[in-house]
Amino acid sequence: MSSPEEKTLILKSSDNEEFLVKESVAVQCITIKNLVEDGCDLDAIPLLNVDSKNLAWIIEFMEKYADSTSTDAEKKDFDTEFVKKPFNDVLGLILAANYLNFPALMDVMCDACANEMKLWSVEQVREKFHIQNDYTEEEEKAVRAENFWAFE
Amino acid sequence: MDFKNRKCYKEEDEPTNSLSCLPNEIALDILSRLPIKSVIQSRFACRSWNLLSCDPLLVHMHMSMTMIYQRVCLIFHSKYPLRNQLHFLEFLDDDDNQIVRKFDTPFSDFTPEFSVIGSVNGLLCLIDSSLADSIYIYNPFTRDYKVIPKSIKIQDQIVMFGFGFHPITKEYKVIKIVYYPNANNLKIARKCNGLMTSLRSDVQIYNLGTNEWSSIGETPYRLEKRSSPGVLVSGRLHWMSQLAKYTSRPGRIIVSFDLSNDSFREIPNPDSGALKWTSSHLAVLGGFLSAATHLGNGALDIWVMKEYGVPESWVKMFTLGAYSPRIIGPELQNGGVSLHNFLGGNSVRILCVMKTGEILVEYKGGTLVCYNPDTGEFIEFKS
Repeated sequence: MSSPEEKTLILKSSDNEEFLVKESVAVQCITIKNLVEDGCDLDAIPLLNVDSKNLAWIIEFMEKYADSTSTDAEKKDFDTEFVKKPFNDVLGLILAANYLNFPALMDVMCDACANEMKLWSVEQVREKFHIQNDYTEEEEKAVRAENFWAFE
Repeated sequence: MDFKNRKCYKEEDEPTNSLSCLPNEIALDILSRLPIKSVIQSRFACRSWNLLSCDPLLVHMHMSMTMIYQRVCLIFHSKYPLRNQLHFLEFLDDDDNQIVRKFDTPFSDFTPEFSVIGSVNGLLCLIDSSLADSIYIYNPFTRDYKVIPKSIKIQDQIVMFGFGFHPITKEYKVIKIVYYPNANNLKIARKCNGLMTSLRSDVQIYNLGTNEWSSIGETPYRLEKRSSPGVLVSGRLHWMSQLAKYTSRPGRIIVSFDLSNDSFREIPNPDSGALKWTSSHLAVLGGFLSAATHLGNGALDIWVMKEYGVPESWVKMFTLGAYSPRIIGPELQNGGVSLHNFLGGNSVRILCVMKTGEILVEYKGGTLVCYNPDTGEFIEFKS
């Protein structure tokens, strides 16, 4: 079933960088798969919500996962190294994976995010996710009192 | 359906900007992967996170992840010093010091003592132990609860309970199987406590969706009181029947109640002739219906029905050896407390299977032990 020349796609990031990816690899992203199946005629597929930094990582991940010779253990090792990124980059990759609808990457990145969150205090959670504490003092006391058992 | 809600959840408070720029679905995906303790702690970050953690979709997602991660989370109901203490314990991979955390109920002021009828999908079904007999369905994590309308109470009744959920009809039901003496036989029935053949029965069903009780009338099955509350597997509740001398059937049988069509069925016992089923209890191990037969001295034979409803699929997985816990639970420590009714007179009960394949076992007095079926090793939990 393999054609002499496997089709290559050009993926263009939001900052106009172009990446060459084999079609069979790129269709792990359901968004791209749908575009291809719908007969997308463009020279390059523009990915408006993904910058080149994230797209490069995503392609690295896609190629590892599309490789039929890599074992589960190797993939696991790859994942462990892959997720060792600053937290803002982890969040960025989650958003990109969501936009591209890439389930395997979402799974790995969300797991990594949850694993880090598990270890944080509430203050750290606020800091890392850039959350403003909008509770009043009374509300804060009430929430603490209701859920005191989780803080023991 | 009105739930008494501790928070005011208004439409305009819909979480919009949770997890900074992450859309809700992703935020929920991440929360569903966190252990429960962390989900609760996330409420404290800001208002919209508080609401997010109570999103009903999170329950489904968290349940699925629990299956995938094989997390075990237990809620204990302790009867000492008062029958109203609830404790929560979640087993995490990387945490050797599991802490049992105590939490209370929002209705503890007017319901000082209760018994747990069942739990499913994170909801607890509790009954007020006093004469009030109120039944509550309680969500310990959002602290929402519902008081179920009262059902018919008959004098001198013996009641079997069950609380379950059917995955296809998606209905939650509370089942009450009531045995009561014929008015004529009242004197005889009181003398022979437990002789159920002369008793009438009534099967009452409460449907959470319709908020109504209904009755399907009598049942020919005489169920063993000790097997209440029923064990839920595949949308069916299970109890053990009484012994032969109290029924017309030889030996005990397992009786199931299908929550989708409100019908009883018998589950065939394992075929092995050596199985007497004189004293056994039911449990759910790894999602399968399981039966533990007491061999004396606290030893158990554990049978698992690998294919639901198929009698040939009963497999004797292993035998739990006799074991005397070194650590004595608080009830025994304080002496003078009658434990005759604990676990229906049995000294040991299997609870569930852990991610590692070990079995969690509860001994008389409340000691929790982890049993490794491969090595035969028992490891006790310090209280």
